[in-house]
Parts: sequence; C-alpha cells; structure tokens
Amino acid sequence: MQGCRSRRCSKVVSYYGLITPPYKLDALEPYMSKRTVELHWGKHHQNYVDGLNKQLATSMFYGYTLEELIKEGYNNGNPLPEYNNAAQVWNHHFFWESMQPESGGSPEGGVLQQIEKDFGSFTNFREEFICSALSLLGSGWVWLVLKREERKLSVVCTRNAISPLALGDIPIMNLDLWEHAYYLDYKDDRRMYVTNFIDHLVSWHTVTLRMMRGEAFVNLGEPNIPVA
Amino acid sequence: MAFTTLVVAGVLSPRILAPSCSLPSSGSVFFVLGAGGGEFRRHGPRRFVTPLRGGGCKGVGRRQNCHVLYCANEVNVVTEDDTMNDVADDESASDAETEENADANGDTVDALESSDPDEVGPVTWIEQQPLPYPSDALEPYISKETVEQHWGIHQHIHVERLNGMIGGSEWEGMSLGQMMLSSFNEGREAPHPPFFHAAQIWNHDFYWRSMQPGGGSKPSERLLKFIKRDFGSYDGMIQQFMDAALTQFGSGWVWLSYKGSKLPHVNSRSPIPSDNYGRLVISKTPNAINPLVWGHSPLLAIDVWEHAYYLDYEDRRADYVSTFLEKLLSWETVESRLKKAVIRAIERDGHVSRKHVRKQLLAQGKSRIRARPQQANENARGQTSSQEKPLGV
Repeated sequence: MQGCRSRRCSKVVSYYGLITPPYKLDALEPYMSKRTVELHWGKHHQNYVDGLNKQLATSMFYGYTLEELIKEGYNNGNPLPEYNNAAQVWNHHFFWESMQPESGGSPEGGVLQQIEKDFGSFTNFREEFICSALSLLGSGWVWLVLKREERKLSVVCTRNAISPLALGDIPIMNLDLWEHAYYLDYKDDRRMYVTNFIDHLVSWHTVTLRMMRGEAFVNLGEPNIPVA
Repeated sequence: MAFTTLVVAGVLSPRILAPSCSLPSSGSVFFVLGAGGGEFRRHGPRRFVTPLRGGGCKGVGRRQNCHVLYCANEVNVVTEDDTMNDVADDESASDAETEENADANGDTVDALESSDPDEVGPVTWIEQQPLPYPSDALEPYISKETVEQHWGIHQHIHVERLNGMIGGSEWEGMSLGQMMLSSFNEGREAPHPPFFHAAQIWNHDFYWRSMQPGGGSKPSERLLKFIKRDFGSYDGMIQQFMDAALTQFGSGWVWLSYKGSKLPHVNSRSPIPSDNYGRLVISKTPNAINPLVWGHSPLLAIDVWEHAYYLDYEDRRADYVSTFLEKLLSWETVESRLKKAVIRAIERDGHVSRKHVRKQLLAQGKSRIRARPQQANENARGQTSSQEKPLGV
C-alpha cells in the first residue's frame, strides 16, 4: 500500500469534518431562526461534507485542501464531480463565519475606508449588495470580494456553488441565496432576508480580518505615510 | 443543402435553427422569421408540405418561401399551451389569450393589479391560470400554506415581473408559450430576460396540472406499455425519476417527456435504435429551462426548487418526490398529454417520406426479431402506433 514502509504501519486516512459555527444555533434569532440554522448547518452542510468524503475515498483528489479542491475541481468552468460538494463545504463554512449575533451596521476603520473608496459610500455598497442579491435567478451566493487584477472590493453574484476562489479573487464575505437558507423564515421575501443580513448579521470583525489577510496578496495602494 | 435536409432541419427545436443553415441567403430569411414570433419554429415542416400559392417573397428556393409565408402568425397551430389545457381550462385559456392579444395595446386595468380605481394600473398581458383544485386539496402531502405561497405569491411574482418587463418590447402581445420559446435565445447564450419569468409561469402551471388530489396510483395499461418499453419497468422509471430529482444540483425541475423521433440536423437513421422512434424520456433541467425548448413534449413536471417542498419536507427532497409520485401525480393528465404529444409529433414529422417510414419500420422489425415474441408484438404495435395511429397509444 502506498505510504506503508513496513508491515507494522497502518494506513491513516483523513477526511473532512464539519466545523461548528462560532455561536450557538439560536444566537442569530430573530433574523435567522434556530430551526433554519439547525437544518442548514446540521443537514445541508453536513450532507455536503459527507458527500465530499464519500467522493474523496475513491477520487484522485484525496488529500487536497479545500481551496485546492475548489480551484482544481472547477476545471475552468467544467466542474468535476467533487467540485460541488467541496465548494459548498467551503462556502458554508465561510458563511457561518461571516455572521455574528447582533452585528451588522457599518464597518469601521480600514474596511470602511476601502468600501468608500471602491463604492463611493457605505450606503452605495449596501444598495449594490441588496440589488445584486435580488438579481440572482435561482440558487447561488452573493459575495463581497477583493478582486486581484482590479485591486478593489466588488460585489459579485455566483450561481449554485461557484466560488470566487475558482475565479481567482479573494472572498471577503458571502451570503447564501439558496432558498434553503431563508425559506423557512422569510418565504419569498428575499429582500428582507438580505437587508436583515446586512443590517444585523454580517460580522465586520471577520471582514476586517479577511481584508487584512487579503492585503498580503493584493496591493491596495501605497501606505499613507504622513509628512513629518 | 438538399431540400429534404433542410426540411428536417427546419422541424426542430429553436436552438438548432440558425446553425443548421449556413447559406447567406437563408440568413435573411431568419431575420424575417425572428420578427414573426418564436413558436413557428416548432411547426416548420407543415409549411413545407403545403404547396406554394405564389406569394411575394423572393427567396432562393421554395423552402425559404414556405418559411416566410407560413411560419409567421399561424393561427391554428397546436401550441404548447394546449398541452396544459385540460378540458376545464380550454375556454378560460383561450379567452385569456385572445384577451391578452386584444388588450396588448390598450390600457386595461386589471382588477388584481390595482386597488385604487382612480389610478391606471399596469397592463397585464399574461395572467396566471387558476389552480385546478382548491389550495388545501393536496393536503397532507403539500400543505395549504405551501400551495398558497407557491401559487399565490411566488408564481404571482413571476407574472408581475413578466408583465413589467414586456411592455413595448418585441414580446408584447405574444402568448406565454410563444414568449417563452422566442426569448430562450436558442440556448446558445444567456436567454433574454423575459425567458426566466415566462418559463417559470409556464412550468408552474404545468406542475399544478400534473397533480391532482387523490392522485398517484398506477398508470393505465397503455401508458405502462410505453413505460416498460422505454424504461424497462415501471419501477425502473420511478428509480430513474428519483435519481434525476436527487441529483439536480441547485434549483430546477424534473420532467417526463415524450421525445419525437427525429434527430436534429440530419435526415438519417440514428445508430442508436432508441432515437428512431418517439419515446419517453426523463430529464432534469436547471432553474427555468424546460424540455419544450429542446423540442420534447413534456408530460409531467415536478418542481425541485427548494421553495416547492421546504415548508413541508424541509430538506428531505427524496420524501417529497416519492410522495409526489405515489400520492399526487395525475396519470390521467399524463396520458392525455401523451396523446396530444404523439399527435403533434406525427404532424411535425408527418412529411417524412413513405420510403423513409418503411425503412424505419423494417429496421425496427429487424432489431425486434431477436426480442422475445410477446415483446416483439407489443413493441411493433407501440412503434407503428406512434408513427401512424396516434389514438392507438
């Protein structure tokens, strides 16, 4: 067997596990009910993890990290079978961490500056985010991404499980627009769902952390060194 | 390009119409066609067969004149709208259509749309067909709340959006089916904006009519014959249907449809024997696409967008689909749609020369010789009936 050098060593295999959200399941009430989080995380996210593990057991992608799975699995627009599960695992993990109980509002500091630079004002960004989310037809995600070539923040919508990682950009925050994410709470009122997310749930702390990491990869501009 | 080849090519689904004709002169014909609306493409060959009566088009060949003369604005064409008009709905649907066409340029105030009598509300070109049963009729399998939300609000949003989109556009005044097919943009690029809403309205109307309270049970003998021939067995079909429903990633629909016998582009026999006669197929489509745009005739639809089942079944799509198949599906509707589909396929392919039909039958007979005797008779009957005797289905 590969990896075994002696008769005494056994093969160790590892698979993906389900990450717990950084808050209790009912912590996002009243904007996202406990039942929704229970189902969304406990069933949908869990199913993606299980499905991915099942595929990886017999796939050439065994051992790849999730980011690698997404980038390789996307296969330039002809996703391989492992792509959907891997991307959904990643997307959902990213989503739980993009939210925080009793957060929302507007960001501060560097993130606010960058948003104002790239969207004009925070209100513009908020409007664009909501409009973008409403313009998506079918299932998908809406993201705040840091674009590498353009070196600016941008709002993008992707369908089904497409990830900006696969498209080469750095995701900063996302929102699940698959109906399972909001149907129990908002039924068809997607506008209310997105508005509540942006106003009450999005975690700007996480966004700041991700921006900081993203700056290591994208040069957002010369530092503002005050003249003495 | 031979005349016969073009005849065949003209038959088929809209998306192949443009690529099949590379002659520059035929390009101009298609621009004219484009102005006339989309549904003609599905009924091309009838025009070719009808003799030319003079006519002012200076086409290069007879086939192009046929196109221009007979494809645009054909009045008594069997449109896809008929597949969803059950007996009860025939009058209301055709009324709605004539109303739409008559009022397209007017400023009708629709009672549903505006509550203020003084204000002129938006014109409604497309109306939603009413549910064929009360909203709690599908309990306990699909709750009243779901039906009211799904039909009353969700589908209604599509209607509103569509009506808001088509004013002043090239789709104004078309019937729903025509709008859907013509805005599909042949699937080569993204469809035009009205496609999504038009198709979703059509799909949902079709879905509601695929169900009936106290449905389920088994299909009739004649339908079972078709199913056995094409899927091996009834359980095989159910299995295939469940697989399609569970593997549809994201939003979409699962369909049982009747696929006509002709291959697109070519007028020759396919090496795959099952392509050479009309057969049932199960297909899954994403978002709002439906098999009509591929030239199939849908027989039943199940909505696997999450909004269709999330309130009742949460994430258990398998339970929803199996309940639909066992308890809600209306096999009578499926059968009546199949009859119409076969008739339409006959009409569409009716120009096929007798020599070709004989060749096909011979080939099918040959391939059936090795089958078991009782199956051979059944299949031969099934195939000849699909070719020649639509009512024998």
